[in-house]
Amino acid sequence: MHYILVRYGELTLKGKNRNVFERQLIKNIKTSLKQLELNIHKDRNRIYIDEVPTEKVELVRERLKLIPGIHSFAVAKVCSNDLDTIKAVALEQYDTNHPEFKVTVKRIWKGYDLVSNDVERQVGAHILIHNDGLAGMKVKIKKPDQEVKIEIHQDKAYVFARHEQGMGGLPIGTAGRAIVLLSGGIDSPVAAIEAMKRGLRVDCFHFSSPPYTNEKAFEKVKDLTKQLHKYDRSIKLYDFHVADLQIALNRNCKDSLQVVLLRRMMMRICDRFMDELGAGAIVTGENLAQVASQTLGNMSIVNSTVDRLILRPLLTYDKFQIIDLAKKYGTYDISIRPFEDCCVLFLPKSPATNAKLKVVLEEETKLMYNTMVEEVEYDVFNALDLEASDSVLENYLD
Amino acid sequence: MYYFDYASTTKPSTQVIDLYTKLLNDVFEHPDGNNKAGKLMLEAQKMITSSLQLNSPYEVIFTSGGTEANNLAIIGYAKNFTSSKHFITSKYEHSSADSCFKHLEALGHSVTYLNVTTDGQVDYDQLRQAITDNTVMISIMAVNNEIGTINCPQTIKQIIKDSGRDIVYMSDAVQAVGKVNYDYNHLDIITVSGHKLYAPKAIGAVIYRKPLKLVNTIYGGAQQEGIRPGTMCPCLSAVLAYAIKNEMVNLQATIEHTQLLTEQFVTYIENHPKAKLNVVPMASTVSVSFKTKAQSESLITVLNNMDIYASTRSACSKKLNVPSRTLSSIGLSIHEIDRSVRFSFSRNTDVAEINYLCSKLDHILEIY
Repeated sequence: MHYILVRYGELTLKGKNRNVFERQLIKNIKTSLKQLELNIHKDRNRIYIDEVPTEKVELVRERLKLIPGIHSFAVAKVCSNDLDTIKAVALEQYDTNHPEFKVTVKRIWKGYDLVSNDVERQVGAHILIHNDGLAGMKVKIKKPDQEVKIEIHQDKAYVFARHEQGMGGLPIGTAGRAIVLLSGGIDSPVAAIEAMKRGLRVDCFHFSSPPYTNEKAFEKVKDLTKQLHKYDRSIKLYDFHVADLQIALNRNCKDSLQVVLLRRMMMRICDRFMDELGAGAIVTGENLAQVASQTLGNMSIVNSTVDRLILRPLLTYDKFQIIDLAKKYGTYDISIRPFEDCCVLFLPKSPATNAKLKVVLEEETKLMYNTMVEEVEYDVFNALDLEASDSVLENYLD
Repeated sequence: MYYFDYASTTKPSTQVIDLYTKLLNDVFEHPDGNNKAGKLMLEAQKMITSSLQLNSPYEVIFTSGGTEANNLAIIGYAKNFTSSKHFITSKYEHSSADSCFKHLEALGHSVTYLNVTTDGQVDYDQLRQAITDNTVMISIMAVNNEIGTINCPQTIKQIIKDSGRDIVYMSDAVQAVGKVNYDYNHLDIITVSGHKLYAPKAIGAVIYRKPLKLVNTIYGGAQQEGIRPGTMCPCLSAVLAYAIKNEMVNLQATIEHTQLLTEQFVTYIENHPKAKLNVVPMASTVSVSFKTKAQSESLITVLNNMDIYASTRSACSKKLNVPSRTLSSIGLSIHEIDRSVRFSFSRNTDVAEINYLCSKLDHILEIY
């Protein structure tokens, strides 16, 4: 049997409303570990997961690493409190990859035969003797590579291994909701996760242009949403079919303004759904000066489309920084699949890098976009739909 | 029919045939298009990597079988280099891999052929010493096709790690998949063949770790990223994936079953005065040399007449009139090699069949 202790970082800085954040974090952990039927509870500034069977530990570790709001966690082994057992378990938990260590003992039950210091010395000696010859092996009290922690209770003892880093940030759901524009590229899924890390619950809006866009491109977006779903268990994907809008823009408006005009249409579509979804902001993966549509001039023209808060978590990031994050979040390999999305359809030869609002507004008068925005068709996929198989092969195997 | 030649080929399973016919009826599109056939290929690739429990990203390229897979893996990797490089392989590789190394030598590369110990595994100490600064690939088969011995991937990977060099570890796993426990995650390039796994002939695959690069060995269009031009049959690709999945799902049951049969047959051989085990088998293939006047070709003929099917050695090389490289590598004399027969079992073999085989062998060995 194992036992897991979860610490939360930034949350502890909160004042009177800290409870709200703690409750949400526990709720999120419970949702994430739902099928595992574990006992999760809070005690002082920690969350505990009791009696985790050995075969479930790996899965729990994987899940905890993806929950925003968790600063770190440690897996402990539960054993009987006699000294020989504690020694043996501590040796087993000792990670030889981080040789410098110290042992800390806390007696929750003060009636234990030995004082903490004695247990620390004996367990430390036991680890030293059994790792004789290991390079760099020594006891280090200040800033050790690892701390073997032991908690002694009346009927049992907990032996902790190294603390593992969590995602940090704030629990999803504590900062409200937002719409994320998910393209299928590298940036937008990273922006989504960065937004989640600040406590936002997100809905993904994707724009595709069937029948002109490749179905594989949409598969990619579904796979990205599945990856985001690992972080936020209630995520939904909205797929808007904007081919008609794009064709109308292409026929009626200036070639160089196509990208800016399309993005303004996207904002209008978001605007239509924000109140219904309770979303307080639109999150985009825009990165200053990365491409033609992401100049200050163009972004302000897109901004002025609707009176909504637009968040750009990646605005100032370096491209390599974004790629590193995408790899860390597990979205990179999906994003680099070579399928194109709707933005590439009717891509102007030379897009305007600094469009003028006056000209853009003039261009927009050339088409009745309001009805088109109102009537745009869309599909909604929730987590279950995403998991459901639309595999060709599976159909033949039934 | 008493079939003891599963190492040379298998009959496609009913499930595989069912799936194959259904797919052939329905899926005809060009697999490079954005359609059902293209999707089927992608799903087949995914099914293969997940069935082999690969936990880092691997690419899958379908080929016409094991031979082409080994060619693409070895020659296709060597083609990355313009200067001459050093390769390490063993003396008992399947001819489809061995011939590639002979070809690389002709192109100016150098190749070390590792010895095989008497227990049928490559000489790991020799491997350790053979690695040079110029070594780019180690190719050692997972399970030997003639004697059923297993080369340990952990050990080989560790030797590569210890050498501190960036060497690609390729393995011909044709005789391993679905037959023995093997951690494929240690391998950088894996080759498989359908017809050893109850799938049809003419389909195989190279599975290689990203971001390794293989260069095409035949010339044509951009199918399969241009690495293997030519329009591949999506239905065959799918049944290969399905067959691998089936065999991997039933792996533990297969191993338990074939182990019992192998033990039964090995005990029989060990107690027979006119038979000798060539090596202790680690998989379900047993190589035996008989102390008879007649050579194995005649023994096989007699066995065939009794409706029993086994082979003298790797079916792929018996037409070459040279002694088996595998058997000579484990130190057998020409006399013994000429009297060796390979029996290989599968999950379809049962105890009664082994009993029949033993009783007929009793009879034959008495006469010859």
